[in-house]
Amino acid sequence: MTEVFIISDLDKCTGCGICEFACSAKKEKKFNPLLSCIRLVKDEPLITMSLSCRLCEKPPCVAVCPTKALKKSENTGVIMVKEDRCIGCRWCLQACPFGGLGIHPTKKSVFVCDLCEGDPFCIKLCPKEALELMTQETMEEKARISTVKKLLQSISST
Amino acid sequence: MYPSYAGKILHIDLTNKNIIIKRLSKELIRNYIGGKGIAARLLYDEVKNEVSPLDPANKLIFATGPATGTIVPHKGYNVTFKSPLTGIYACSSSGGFFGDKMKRAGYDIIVISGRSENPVYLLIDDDDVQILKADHLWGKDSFETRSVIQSDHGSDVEVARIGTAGEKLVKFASIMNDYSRTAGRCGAGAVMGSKNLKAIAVRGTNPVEVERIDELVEFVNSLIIKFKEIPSSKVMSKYGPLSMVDPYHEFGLLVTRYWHEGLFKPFLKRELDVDTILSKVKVKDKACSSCPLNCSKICVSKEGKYAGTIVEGLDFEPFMSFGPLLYNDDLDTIMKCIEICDRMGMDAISTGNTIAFAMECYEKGIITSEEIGGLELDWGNSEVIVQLTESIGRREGFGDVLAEGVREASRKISRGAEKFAMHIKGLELPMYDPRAKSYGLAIAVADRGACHCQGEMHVYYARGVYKHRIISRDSLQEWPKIIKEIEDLGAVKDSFIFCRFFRDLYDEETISKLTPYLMGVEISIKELKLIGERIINLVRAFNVREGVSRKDDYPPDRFFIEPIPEGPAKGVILNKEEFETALDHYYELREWNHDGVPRNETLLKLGLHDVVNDSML
Repeated sequence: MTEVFIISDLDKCTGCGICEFACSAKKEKKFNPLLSCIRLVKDEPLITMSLSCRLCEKPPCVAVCPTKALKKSENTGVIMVKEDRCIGCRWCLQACPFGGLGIHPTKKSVFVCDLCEGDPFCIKLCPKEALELMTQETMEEKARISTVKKLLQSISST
Repeated sequence: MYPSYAGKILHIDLTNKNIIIKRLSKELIRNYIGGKGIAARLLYDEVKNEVSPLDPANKLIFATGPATGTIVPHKGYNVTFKSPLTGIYACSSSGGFFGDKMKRAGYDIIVISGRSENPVYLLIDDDDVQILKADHLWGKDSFETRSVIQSDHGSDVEVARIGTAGEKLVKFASIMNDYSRTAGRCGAGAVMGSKNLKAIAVRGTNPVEVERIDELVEFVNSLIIKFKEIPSSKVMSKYGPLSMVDPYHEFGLLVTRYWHEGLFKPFLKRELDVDTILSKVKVKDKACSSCPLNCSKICVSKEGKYAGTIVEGLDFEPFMSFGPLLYNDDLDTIMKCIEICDRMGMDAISTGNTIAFAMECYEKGIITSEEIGGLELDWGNSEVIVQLTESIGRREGFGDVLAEGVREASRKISRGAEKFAMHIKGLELPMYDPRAKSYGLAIAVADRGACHCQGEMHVYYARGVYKHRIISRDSLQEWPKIIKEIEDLGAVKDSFIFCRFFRDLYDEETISKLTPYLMGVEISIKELKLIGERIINLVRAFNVREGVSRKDDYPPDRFFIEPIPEGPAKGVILNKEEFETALDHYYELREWNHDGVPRNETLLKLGLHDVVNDSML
């Protein structure tokens, strides 16, 4: 099965945080960005974008987990958490270069984006269509097209 | 407690370093909702008429509303206080994420009173509230202050703070939060400065809960999808508030040269419309928490002496205030002045106004170059505009006089300068022309002085349509009723707190439908309107206690005696007789007496028994 993951468009993202509200509402029935699997990142004034689990091919979170609580799904590629095994040691948080995991404040175990069974709620609610579900192929294609467009623009403007 | 509220008021007395947490009563919520409403009640009860705005006894009330911290599109917080600029009631609001964090820290309201002996800042980390020394922050600008606090306490704290203008008690100093969101009007920053309070840093980790969350999220999402398709939303999303430049230029009512003209010829000559302006400088759209509109346009100046200057909000008001108002067509210096205001923490509207006032006094020979340190205050002298903006923020030289605001500055200058000071109740005018009749009436009766947000007539004048009905722009007949209706609902919106740019997202029916989710009880449209009236009347009573009456409910004389000289609006002017009739009509609808004082039976009907018995009223 082709793996899909969530991509946030740096130009389109306005930093409204609706994705965080959507995720925490759906998963935790509360509004709290700290409980959201997708997190808004800001480097003001110029940068706003959202980040969630990148579904790494070689996930460092899985590799470092001392209790084997984390596993990458062979089917979908999402990181699955065995809550009864997780001891909340935060090794995975430290290992993830994207800050893609969190520790649940009451369950005290790790939580991470599960792509809402292939239909992520954050994407549905993003008012700017800044979030997209992509495969490796669509992502590469998008990068090619945008580069070609930029080149053509610079040629036509000179 | 009702679901979406944190349920607590945090009281901080800076004189005695006392921190007390009180429960937010259900009664306050039912009668005043939150935000503007509850804060107005607290201010009325706790800040009487003997309190001077910069006295320790004045209070600075930060308030969130039931929508704050939820997915329901909202505005973060507002801050209520007695204004050092106007001497009366003031409430100023701001977006960003500060309000959300304040509520998640567990406080719907924060009331600051007293005065610290030395500079301090507050660190609110959920339940842990500390008053910390701010000697290292005093003297730092607004951007540096936030950086230092975030590097000391983590980038997940959000910081409401003053810049150097607030420290120096510039009467229209603002409170800044997030990168450069601003509670701008009426001088909240000066009140904060007078308390020796440099900043409030908040980390909030608690959730905000509502009833039937899945249903609410679906409901809000369906509202947003419809809202995004409305033409006005598309324009706002693309251009932000700056989009008002074009329609007002077409009306011939684009505020130019301190309300002497209605066409800004340098822009016409250069064919500068909003699309051209933004295509030169805009680099990114930005939004406040939960907002689908992203009115904020991050802009970078590309050419000129100040190239590289970044402003978060190339917004209509500051743009006009440093541009056409001063006959300045240099985009680079306009952006620089906005940046200075954000950096020093000053209201751009009032700052531009005071400079325009000075330019007019200079033109009329009331002040001379020698008196003001050799400055040549000719219209459009962009270099001097930048210099003067900085000296106002520092209270240096002539800037010290202008830092008092136009009303007080004109008294200090005297020699007939008073009649050139454009203000209502001491608040400098926003960037629309009061000769647009409905707008002129709306800003004259607004509670905090010349405020365009409350009556929203700058929008409805431009639309010429209200609730699907065409209303004549040339007559004042129908507008008093509409203004009252918008003000009443507006007070409710300011209590939830809904940004005024959501005017086409939230009608009274939608707000009522949201109440069961946010408040746990359904509040009917009728009751919402009653709450709005209650807030408006309570605030009016506060102002009456401060001496406000009919005499204060007029636009400056200029608009009754000087017509627009040329262009599409040539000859447009306010008519005194028509205005008086409309004012009478407005008071009648409000059930206030001829002098604009709420009648006892009106107050009783709204449950304001204690106000009737207020001996100071």
